Formats: sequence, structure tokens, C-alpha cells
Amino acid sequence: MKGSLIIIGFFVLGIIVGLGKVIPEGFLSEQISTYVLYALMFLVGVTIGYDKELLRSLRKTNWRILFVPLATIVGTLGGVALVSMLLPQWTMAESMAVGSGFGYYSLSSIFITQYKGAALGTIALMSNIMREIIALLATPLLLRWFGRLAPISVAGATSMDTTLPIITQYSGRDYVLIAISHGIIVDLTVPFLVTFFCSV
Amino acid sequence: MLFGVGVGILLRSTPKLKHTGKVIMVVIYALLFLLGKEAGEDDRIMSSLDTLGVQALLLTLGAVVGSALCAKLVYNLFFKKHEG
Repeated sequence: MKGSLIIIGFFVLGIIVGLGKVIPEGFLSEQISTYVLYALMFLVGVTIGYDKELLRSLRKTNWRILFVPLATIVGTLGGVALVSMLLPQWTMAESMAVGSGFGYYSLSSIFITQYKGAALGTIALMSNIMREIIALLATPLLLRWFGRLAPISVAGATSMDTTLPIITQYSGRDYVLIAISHGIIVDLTVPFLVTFFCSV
Repeated sequence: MLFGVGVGILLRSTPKLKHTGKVIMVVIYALLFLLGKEAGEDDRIMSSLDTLGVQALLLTLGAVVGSALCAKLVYNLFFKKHEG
């Protein structure tokens, strides 16, 4: 939760600076942020490759477990595609790009800003933060209405870090490994799906 | 990113990389700051922050309900019978 507050803090700080027009508009042009974005993707890749445990726990998963991230991805994209019919300002692909953040708000909103502008980027940031908050707060209800896997699916990419404690608490210890491998797989799909739906 | 994964695997023996996580966080903070700055400079975004919020909430609800329903399906199909 502290991490989320810091993230929102930087965003709000940016808004204040932008409102005051303290920094001239040309400063840190879009080209630079594109390269920074590439560097970021590279670094994310390095940490994934560097972490032995991460890849090992992926290899250990059995086929049943793979249906959980699949359910998350299909369910999220389907739900978001339906909602997009209520939002004429955005195309279905743009709405699906927002949904493809799966709660990974920092990375997805940065990508979407780069490809689609700050308005959709702001939606992505808010929407994915909301998703994490819902996963944190609604887990007991999700468990009762939709079974033990629902807290994991709703948590999306955060099921391996911020929401893992609450998932463990409610779904049970047997589901920890599922939650972690689910988080890793969904996390990995975020950059690919977001760029895909931005370029459609 | 896949290139980065390869480099990360090759670099496993070097302990220096412990700090990449922190570097990533700093870069993310910087980029989110820039997103905020861009949004703050854009009067259209600032004046429609409430409608953007409503749209974000609707999309989130779609994502949450959709993924919960699919999770229920997978749970009933593959997980339920394995429990006592």
C-alpha cells in the first residue's frame, strides 16, 4: 500500500507541476521518454531473467494452474470489451488496452500514455489502481460469490506481491503457489497485450 | 524485454544486479511524474478528470466481474473436485 501511495504521489506532483507550467513544455520531449521506456522494458526483462526462483516456479506449475491466468485474461478482456460499448469516446481496442494492465498500473499507464496520450493514460492509471483496491477490499465477497480462484483472478498481476497476503488469508495456503505463478504469467503479458491493443 | 531476460540469465553470477529493482522503481516514478505533468498541462484532461474517473471505474468493474466469472468457471471445472 505504501508503494501505491508513492506512485500516486509522483503522479499528483506531476499534475501540480503541469498545472503551474513550471517546466517548459518542450523539456523532456516524447522521444526521450520513448527511449526511457525501452530502457525500462529492458530492465524489467533483466530482473525476470536474473531471478532463478521465478523461472523455476514457472516450470513447476502443472497444466491445471495455467487455466487461472487464462481465465483472468479472457474474463478481463471480455468484460472490458462489453463495457467499451458504453464508452463511445474510446474504441474497443483502447478500452482493452486499459484492461490489459491487469492492475499493473505503473507500467500500463506509462505505455498507454506513450501510444494514446495522457487522457487514456490517466484512465489506465486510475482503473488499474481501482482494480488493486477492489482486490484488496472485496476478497471475502469474491470468495463467497465466485470461489477460491476469484480473488487471484481479480488481483491480476498483483496476485504475486501486493495482494498475495490477503489471497493467502482467504483462499488458503494451497493457493499461494497458484497466486504466485498466476501473477508472474499475467505480469509478463502486460507489456505485450497493452502494446498490441494500442497498435490495433 | 525478451532481450533483457536473456541478459539477466547470463548475468546471474554477478551479484551487482541486486539494484535493478530499485532502478526500475526510480524510472517508473519519473515516468509517472511525466504522465502527471502532461495531464496537468492539458486543460481538457484536467476539466474532465471526473468523467475520466467514471470511465475508469466502469472499465474496472467490467474487468473485475469478467475475470471473477471466468475464475468461477475454471474453479468449478478443474479445482473443486480435487478438494475434500
